[in-house]
Amino acid sequence: MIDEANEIADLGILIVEDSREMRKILQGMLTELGINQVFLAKDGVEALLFLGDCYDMIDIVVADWNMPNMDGSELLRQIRGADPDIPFMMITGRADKDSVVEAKSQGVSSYIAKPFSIEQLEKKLNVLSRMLNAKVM
Amino acid sequence: MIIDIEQNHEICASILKTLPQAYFLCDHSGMLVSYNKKLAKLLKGNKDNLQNAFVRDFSTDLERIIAKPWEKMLATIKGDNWQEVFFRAFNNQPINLEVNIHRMNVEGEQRLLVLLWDNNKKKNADQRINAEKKIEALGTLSGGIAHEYNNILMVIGGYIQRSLRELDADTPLAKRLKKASEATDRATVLSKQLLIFSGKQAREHKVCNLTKSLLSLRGQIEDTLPNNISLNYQIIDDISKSSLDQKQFEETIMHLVNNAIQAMPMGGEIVIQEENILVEEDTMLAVVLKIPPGEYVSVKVTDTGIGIDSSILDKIFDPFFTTQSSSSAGLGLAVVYGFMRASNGYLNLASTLDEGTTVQLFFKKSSQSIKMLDEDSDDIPLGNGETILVVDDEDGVLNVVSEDIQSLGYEVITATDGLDGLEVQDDHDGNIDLVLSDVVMPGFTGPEMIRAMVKETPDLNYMFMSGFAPQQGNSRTKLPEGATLLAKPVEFKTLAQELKKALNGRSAQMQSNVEGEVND
Repeated sequence: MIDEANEIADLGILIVEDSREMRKILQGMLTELGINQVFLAKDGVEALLFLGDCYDMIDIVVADWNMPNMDGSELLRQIRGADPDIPFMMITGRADKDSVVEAKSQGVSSYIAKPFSIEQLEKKLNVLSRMLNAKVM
Repeated sequence: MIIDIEQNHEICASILKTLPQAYFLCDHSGMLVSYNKKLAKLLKGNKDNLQNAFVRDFSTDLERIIAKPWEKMLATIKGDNWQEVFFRAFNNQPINLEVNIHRMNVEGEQRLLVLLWDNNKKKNADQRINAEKKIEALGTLSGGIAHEYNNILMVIGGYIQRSLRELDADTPLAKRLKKASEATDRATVLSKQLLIFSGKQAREHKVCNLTKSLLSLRGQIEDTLPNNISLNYQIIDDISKSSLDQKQFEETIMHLVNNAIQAMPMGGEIVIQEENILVEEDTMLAVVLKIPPGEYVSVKVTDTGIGIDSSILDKIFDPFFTTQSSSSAGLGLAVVYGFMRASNGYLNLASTLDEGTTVQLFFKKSSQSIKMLDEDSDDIPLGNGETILVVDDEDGVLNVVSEDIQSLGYEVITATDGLDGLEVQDDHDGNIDLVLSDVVMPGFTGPEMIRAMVKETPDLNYMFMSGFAPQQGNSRTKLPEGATLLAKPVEFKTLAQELKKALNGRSAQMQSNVEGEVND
């Protein structure tokens, strides 16, 4: 499961997800993938507060698209205002083409459709990690 | 000026002529004493048929209405409503018409004026619109259900998978969980089908040559056929191209083939036929939609099976409708219908009991021009089926360039941005012979993406295209040394030549590597 040269293990990941069960599952998956720096927020407001304090610890934001209080779209808008580049992965239960195109135009870097397996999540994170390593900052 | 219509026969005649309805005037015996041309047309006859005709000659229903005692009947006629009456046309075809009956006093004689109206076309159209609305509503509903369902499946599947990873595979608990996990997989497939039916599933439309897809499917189809069913494959060389999701197309054909197999328990033949079709005018299809004029690529799947009873024809596209006893039938033809809607295509179905069923799919011919290549032209070198990944965040550019490259004889795969490019590279099973990428893309530039790709595949062959000259000083869009940059819009000939040059350079380089190894 875990790559020999595990590039994703060092990633700092912020999970933004309103469902407690989904947060637990995601956290479990990330831990299994060897990622130890996992932070949890239950909605966009909490995520922004966390990013305000600990921005440097986060490499990737993984957020549910449909959430109460502040949804994924609004969270993304606020994050993009401060950082146009931080990878933002959208979790969605309805990955239809129109909403993916729309989300990408808003600045979503990557998306994963529910239900997904740990292998699918690993693949997506690997690609994001390759992107982070190749980017010229 | 006020015209006294009653006294002006000319005006009366003219009004009767312009009436949109057919009409006739009959006496108490039911004999026609006056009628218009439209009546003959409606009853598929000519004036001779109507000469001295009686109502009973073309409608026993109407005859029954007027056969009541004349005076009593006249008293009940109000002329304020239309009613449907059964007629037999002069060509013996049955036809339902709406009629409106009035009494009239003509020169002191009581007559019946009957107006007739053919409402069938409108009724059929209404039925189709209703069927379409029903499917639309079911689509929205199923899309919504799939969405909620996916959230739940994620939790169920997530916990099962996690438990399975922690358990020894041989324990009884692990075996039970494995079964639960398999059921979750089936539920996931069903949920995907719901999304396809809703027409909302993420899909990748690419310009495809259906002949190629059908050829590659042939083996798979033959493998699924029982011994008593034969396959008759009628594909053509010059099929037009069409824009669709190839994977879903192949799944759709397999779906139809499976339906055909189930319709032929005693064996038979499946014909898969591909055609270019020109539809010249709006044509009603048997089921649900009408097809507008245009050029289409059609694929027909015909079986010689038990056929479908006409009484259930209007239900066969409903999700979960099945005539099979098996409970795992899933969404059936509803998925095929959803796929056709998502492909902006049309579907027709014809079936005769005990003779068989034909399902015909219509895909719009791709409007993107396919360049005609002159085979003698030395200037335009052709490809040899090499695989080229094209990456561009602009849909229009991506389509045009992919089309051009495809028409040169290359296999094309596409990605819509840098990150997508990395995913496609990861997912692609075979070799990617060359990557042609845009330079400036939001978030992750072409040169950055190539750098990430080269890290995994050091001998990657690549080339860039851009509408801008490389910006001095912008390190994110700086091309790797020696990289080829094509200026957008890329001229077709230049594209062909540069692709060939890059690919030849690569094979020459590989050749020299091999020789080098031998020499060492």
